[in-house]
Amino acid sequence: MSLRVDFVTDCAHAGTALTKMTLLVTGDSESDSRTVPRDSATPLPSFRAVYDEYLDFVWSCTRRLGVPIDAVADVVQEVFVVVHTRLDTLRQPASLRSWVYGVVRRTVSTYHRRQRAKTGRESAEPFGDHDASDLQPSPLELAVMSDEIQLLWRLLGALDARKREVFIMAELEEMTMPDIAEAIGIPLNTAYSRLRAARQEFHDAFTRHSEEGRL
Amino acid sequence: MRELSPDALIRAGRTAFRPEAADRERMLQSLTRTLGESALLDGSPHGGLAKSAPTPRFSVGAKLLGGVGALAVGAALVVAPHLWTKTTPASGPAPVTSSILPAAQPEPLPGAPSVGEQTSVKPATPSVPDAPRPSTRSSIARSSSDSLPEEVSLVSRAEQQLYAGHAEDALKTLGEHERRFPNGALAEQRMAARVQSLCTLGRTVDARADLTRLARAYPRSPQLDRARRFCGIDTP
Repeated sequence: MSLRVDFVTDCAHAGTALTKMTLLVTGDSESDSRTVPRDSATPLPSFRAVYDEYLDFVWSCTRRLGVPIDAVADVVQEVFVVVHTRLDTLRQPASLRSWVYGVVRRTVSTYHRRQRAKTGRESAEPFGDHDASDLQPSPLELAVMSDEIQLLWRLLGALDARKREVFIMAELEEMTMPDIAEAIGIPLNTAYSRLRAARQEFHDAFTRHSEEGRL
Repeated sequence: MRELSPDALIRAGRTAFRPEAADRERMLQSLTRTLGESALLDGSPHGGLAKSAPTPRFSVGAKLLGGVGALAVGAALVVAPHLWTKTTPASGPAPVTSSILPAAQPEPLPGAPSVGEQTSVKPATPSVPDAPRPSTRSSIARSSSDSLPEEVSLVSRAEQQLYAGHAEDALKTLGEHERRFPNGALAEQRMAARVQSLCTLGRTVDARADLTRLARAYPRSPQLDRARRFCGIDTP
């Protein structure tokens, strides 16, 4: 059995030229001829170092991107297997956070597509279009969520998926906008625009919730 | 209720959804089994990925952990409510079991959960309002640990069915849990999930009846208000 993860990352830094990297992972470690060779002058972090540094990040991103609690461990493991396999192809170690997020994003997207296929829902759109039901907490999760997190979860569901993703990355994961733009593969200006809109929608949803007297 | 604001919600969200210490440890163990010990050595740049190493899909928990698997995540969630409780994990008491990935060998649950007020694991007889402590700690612990993975499997399946829009299927699954584990560790969660399933189907009368039973069995349960909110039923 082979593990195959395809994703394209557009690296955009302040509107400079884009560099596309296609990373193909196969179980037999076959290299993709299009993989950009790593800058040999830049030290490569060890996998263990990456794991220690990014486990929290991967775990929380996976959860916030709608993977339910009973699947998060498997998805996180899948992410780190990919990270391990492809770490030596990392072109810019300084962009490790964005790169790791890209792996998370792709792995979670695959997970959601499979879940939709299992439940007979319409085939999933490319990542970013999954609907708010992906964020629905389970009864078990609701049992242990604080009121604040439950409300946060509900308000995030009011945002469309693309704005929600940027909002989560910026406000909850506290990533920089250049990192966010790189990780998602959008121009920096687009990232800023989505964040502005997301903040407005979030605040509007909060206001509506308050006015409905549920607070 | 303390005053909420968008900023307060965001601050709360930043510390939510983090893995616990036991989650980290078990993930490390699981990755070690998958990737080999050399991959996880500190300073090892890469570590060889054995060509024959299995490539886990989303059942890696079950494959690697003898079938108890990721389905037991719910058990960790039930017994580790600190994950998303009002107190941060660092400030709250140590959980009974904080692992998402189950132990290779089941750990007996102490009779008295050690987490805070949102503890959900109650090996209680529903007819006793205050979820009594088990009289035989070791036997209850053994029983709970033996059946908990199966309980989690059933309740998790029910919740997935509920949120996939298959409330009828969820009720059937919850019925199976009730038949097999009438007084199980997840009885409270089962009852709450049943209320929500009934509401989803528009069976309000049945839902109210079950809500009353839930309130009688677990009067201080945090599930009560949530089930009421889910169903839009006012507090009696």
